Amino acid sequence: MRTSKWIWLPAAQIPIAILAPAAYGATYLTVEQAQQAIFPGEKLAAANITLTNEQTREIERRSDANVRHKKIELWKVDNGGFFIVDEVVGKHEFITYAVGLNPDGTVKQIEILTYRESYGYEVRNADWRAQFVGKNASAPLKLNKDIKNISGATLSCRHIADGVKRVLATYEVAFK
Amino acid sequence: MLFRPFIFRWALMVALWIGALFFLPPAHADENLWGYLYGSDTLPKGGTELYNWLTLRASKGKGTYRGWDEMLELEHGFTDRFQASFYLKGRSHQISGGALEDDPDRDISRGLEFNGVNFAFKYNLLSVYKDLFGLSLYLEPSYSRIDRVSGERMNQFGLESKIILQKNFFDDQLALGYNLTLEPEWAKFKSSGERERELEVEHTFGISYRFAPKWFVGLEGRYHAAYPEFKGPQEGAFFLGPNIHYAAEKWWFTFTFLNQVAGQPPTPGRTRNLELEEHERYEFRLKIAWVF
Repeated sequence: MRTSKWIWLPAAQIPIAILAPAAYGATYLTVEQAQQAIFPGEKLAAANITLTNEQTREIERRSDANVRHKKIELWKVDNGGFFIVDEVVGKHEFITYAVGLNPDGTVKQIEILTYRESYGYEVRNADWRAQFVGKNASAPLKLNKDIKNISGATLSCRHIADGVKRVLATYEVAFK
Repeated sequence: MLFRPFIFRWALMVALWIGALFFLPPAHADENLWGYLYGSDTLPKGGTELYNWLTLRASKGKGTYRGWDEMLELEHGFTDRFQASFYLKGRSHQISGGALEDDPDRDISRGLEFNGVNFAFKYNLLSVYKDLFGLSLYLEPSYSRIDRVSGERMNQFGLESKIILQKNFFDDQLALGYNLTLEPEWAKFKSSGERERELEVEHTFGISYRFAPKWFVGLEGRYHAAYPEFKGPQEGAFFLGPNIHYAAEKWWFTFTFLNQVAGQPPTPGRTRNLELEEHERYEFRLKIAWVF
């Protein structure tokens, strides 16, 4: 029986596809660069904390978001503010972002550090990130309520909004 | 006649390589977590993807049976909720040893030949990421010229419609999906002149879990039944099997293996409890997509 000879075609695509990906996803800011972007000229001191089980449950209750890591990457700022590095689930990889908090616990600024998704990179736009400025732990931080969605990037928008909500709850529960 | 499949093969290959070698900005909104089940996502406005689908349907429980279905699909998002696709289809068969229950003398071995074209339209009503669940409607008119089971020449028109439901859990790392598919088909066979019309009904469901960054593993099942002359079901079969999905930034693939676990009516003299006249025992599907 003659074996079909064309079947190698799809198989041949796999090595091509493996070679094809370029470094599209990117680290946009290092932690130090994000610190300077949010708190220019300020001194920051590392003050990592580890959440207790009770704190974890309380944060999840208040934010309605899962706590993925009990170890919180936290810095205290000379002016009384805080700087936190966190990550949320993207469609394929984790999205790393930083939140700067004012001394009163409101959001000063957020920055996207790494974004390795193939779509939705508009979450880095300053206008979209500016929606979080001034928010505190009592803000809803829900898409289409107080946070605008970006069409086609809904998953990234929702997860970052949930992440900031979790950071604000962590501030209230663990390091206020 | 010989040059036709040859040209088709090379056109297919060139198109695929061009797709692979273009280093263009990617978009992943409609990547397929499953091989058979459709998710509710649509491409964002302006997004374009090129897919290659390869399906092997194997084993009738007797003799040799292999049916290969090849599809090249170009998909484009016209709005953030509406996408359309164009498919070029190819088909190949190797049949011998009395594999076909209703035509045991059939003995053919054909390479890839042009099998027709499809158009598909998908509209997203509810987003799986911000609404209670994802909901999309899907319509796919088709033209085929080679019978799926026997490889006979024919002219067949079909109109496939789907309701697509999807629900995600655990930060969208776990996805559940369900499709209801209805497809009336009208066919005329070239050799006999016989006309045939039937309704195909399919329930498809699946689960997919992201177990590591970029990697998803899942399970999917499909119950497919045919209603000749749009009346009571003649044959039905239930398939179940695992799948794996990998997504890089510019491309992704999904591989599914389905095993027929039950069929009605069972084909006499073949594997017990399986319907092997209109369906096969095993199905393998590989989808590879490049994002423009």
